[in-house]
Formats: sequence, structure tokens, C-alpha cells
Amino acid sequence: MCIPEILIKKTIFDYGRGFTGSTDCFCSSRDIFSARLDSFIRETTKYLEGAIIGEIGNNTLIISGRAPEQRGNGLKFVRASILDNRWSLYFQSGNGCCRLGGGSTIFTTALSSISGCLAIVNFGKPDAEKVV
Amino acid sequence: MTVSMIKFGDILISRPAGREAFLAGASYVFKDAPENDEIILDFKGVKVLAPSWGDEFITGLKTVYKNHVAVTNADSPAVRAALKYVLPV
Repeated sequence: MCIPEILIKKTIFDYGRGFTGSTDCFCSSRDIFSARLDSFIRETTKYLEGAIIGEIGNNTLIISGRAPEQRGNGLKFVRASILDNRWSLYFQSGNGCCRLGGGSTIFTTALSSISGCLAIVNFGKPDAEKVV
Repeated sequence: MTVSMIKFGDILISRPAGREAFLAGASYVFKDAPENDEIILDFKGVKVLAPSWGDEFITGLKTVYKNHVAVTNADSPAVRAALKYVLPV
């Protein structure tokens, strides 16, 4: 099942002025992101989920094609893990969107553009959406 | 040569951390490996491996050293999933 449209719209509406005022949803530096992710993994013991969040969070700032790094493997890993476990992901940067879920990957264009990147991941339970 | 990966931590995430770990290994561990010796990465105790960390570490290892690289004790599903992309069989 894909991330519900209403949740995407609500998230973008609620944080229409940016995420910087929300310490729950925004990490202002890589160190803060890493520390919060480390706590999440240790508290929940959700190891695969932690690896997915880590790949998303650590790959959105700078993307390049430096050989011999195998760039793109992280996102293939995210896609396969999400689909194999019947989880779902919504990712938006600017007005470009990617939806994973229900066994499919769909690329779309959003009506409204956002600054930066937004990722909503559903790890199965209805209350498990995480904005990273 | 067997390298205990738990020495780098039980949660191995992010490209910069992987690069840092590789450089530490290159300085203190791998430089002593005989040229034809297999390097075995022992993931016992490691809970999480992200592909970006693994890419920096393992690709760096394979690029600089010509030794064959193998993996053992990849018990965590998260580690096994990442290794499929970083070190395909």
C-alpha cells in the first residue's frame, strides 16, 4: 500500500514554512541525524529499517558520480527492501516525486514544489510513519 | 587475514563514516596483509550495515589492495541485505 495522499498533503501543509522549527522532523546537521538514527535503532532494534533511513538521510545532500564508488546501490537497496517487505515510501525533492509501495515504483510530478527533500516511510503499522 | 568489523561499531551507516573506517583500516590493519592472502571481513556482532558505508569500505579495499575479499558471520538480515549490493556473489 502506498503512502496515503492525505498524509503527504497534510505533511507538506503543516510544514509549508519549512521544517527548521520542528525538532521532531528536522535534523539541522549530519551529526544530529546520525545521533537520532543511532538512538532509533538501539531503542527499537529495527535494524533493516535503520539502514533504510540511513541511506535516505545520508544520500540526499550531495549526489555525484565519483568513480569507482558504486553510487546508486544505496537507492536500489532502499527500493528492494521497501518492496520486499511490503513497506512504502514517498520521496519528494522540488516537485519531483517517487512513490514506492504495493509492488510498484511510480515517478510523478507534484503540483506544489518544496525546498529540500521530504521522505515519508511507512514500516507497516498505521502509526509508524516517520518523516526524515 | 580476518578483520573483525565490530571494531568499527555495530551500526555501520553513512558514506563519510565508511570512508573514515577504510582509512583507519588502511593505516593500521590492511597494510600488513600479505599480497596473496585473502581478507575475510567478519561481521559477527554487527547489527546494521548501510550500502554506502560498505561501498566506501569494501570498494576502497578492493581498489587499493588486490587481495580477494570474503565475508563471514553476516548474521543480521540488515547486513546480508546490504552486502548483496556491495559485494555481489
